[in-house]
Amino acid sequence: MGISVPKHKESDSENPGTGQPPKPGGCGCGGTGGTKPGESTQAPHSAVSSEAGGGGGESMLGEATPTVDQVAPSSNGQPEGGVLESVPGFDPQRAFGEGMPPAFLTEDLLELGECRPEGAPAETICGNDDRIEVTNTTLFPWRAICKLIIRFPNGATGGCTGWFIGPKAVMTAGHCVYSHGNGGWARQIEVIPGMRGATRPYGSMVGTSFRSVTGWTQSADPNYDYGCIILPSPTLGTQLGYFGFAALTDASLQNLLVNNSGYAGDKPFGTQWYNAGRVTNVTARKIYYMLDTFGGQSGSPTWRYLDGQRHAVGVHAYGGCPNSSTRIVSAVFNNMLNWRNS
Amino acid sequence: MEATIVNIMESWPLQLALQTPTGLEHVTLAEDARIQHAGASVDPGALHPGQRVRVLKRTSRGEVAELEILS
Repeated sequence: MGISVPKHKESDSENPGTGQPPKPGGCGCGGTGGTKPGESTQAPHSAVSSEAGGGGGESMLGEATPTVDQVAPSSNGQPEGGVLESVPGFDPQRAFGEGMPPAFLTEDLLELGECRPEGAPAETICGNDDRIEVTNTTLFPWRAICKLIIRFPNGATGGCTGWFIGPKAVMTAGHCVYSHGNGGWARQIEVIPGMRGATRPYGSMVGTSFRSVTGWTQSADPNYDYGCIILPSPTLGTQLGYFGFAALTDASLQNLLVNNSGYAGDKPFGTQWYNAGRVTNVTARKIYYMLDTFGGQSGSPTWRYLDGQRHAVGVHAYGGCPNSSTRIVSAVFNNMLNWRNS
Repeated sequence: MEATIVNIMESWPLQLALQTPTGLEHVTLAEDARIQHAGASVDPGALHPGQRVRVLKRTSRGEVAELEILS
């Protein structure tokens, strides 16, 4: 039976495009079918790895947007409630008011001003810059968010942000592990959890094994811009804890208050910056918001904080006000589960 | 080369997806890239999708060293 090839086929840095039988993982919602063991899979949805023989299987499940919320738990979490992270100095008022239907906006919220005043840089700081530095990066979840220093095949060095999703799996953007402009798979990525300026409270670890999907590595499709670093040891992730993640329905995502934190390139090197706001638009593969971000924050988690658990719902990747994340849909969720369990 | 910015990827330095006459090209800004608009230097933060740009100079690694914003 012919099966169209979705773009979530896993891609790896040592065995691009080779399919393998599907691995067990979270059950996606919607969709049908799946590849049979041994079936040739050059599916753009198939996950690929930077390692020989590390290609993952594909699943047809999850091309459709989720019809029910799919949730993978974080490493910790006690029921507490709350939606914004508690970051000293962050003003939540704008975040609460974004994206809300006009009927819900009070005069006070409206008087806070437009998100993008005339003349403001349009790229990624959307209106007033209300990012706040995270000063205690030894607390969770900040310690699970990592500065990435990347070496590309053409000799260029770059910076991104990553976050632990498992003991040795660090999630990031596809263009951080595979750069079409810099020669493909990264040569190596140094992962520095909870970096704060010159301080590396947990040291660092160098990864040379990467994951992404053929929709990004072969098609450069921004809808599939996500990837993962598989570290050589589970030591750091086990010590620091890791994020949960969730494939939420459109209804669950729309107007959701989300948090983001990452290593912005316009700030002092190695400092982590937090912002929050509401999801303003949702498409089949992307989540849009007016949160302030900047170059260097690609790969950072966009997460919901609810009932004491943190679940990433997207991987921040693009600027343009609105800025956007690659949405965690079922296919992404399933790949992430596989990478978490690598 | 003239092109239109399709996407801005927020690595640092920024990576851009440019629509050129020959197709889509992915480029990376050099860390010290000079960006001009109407004769003045501007920050990378001035870039946004939909802008017409001209690549004036590249590094030996192919990064964009000088870029002019046309619109």
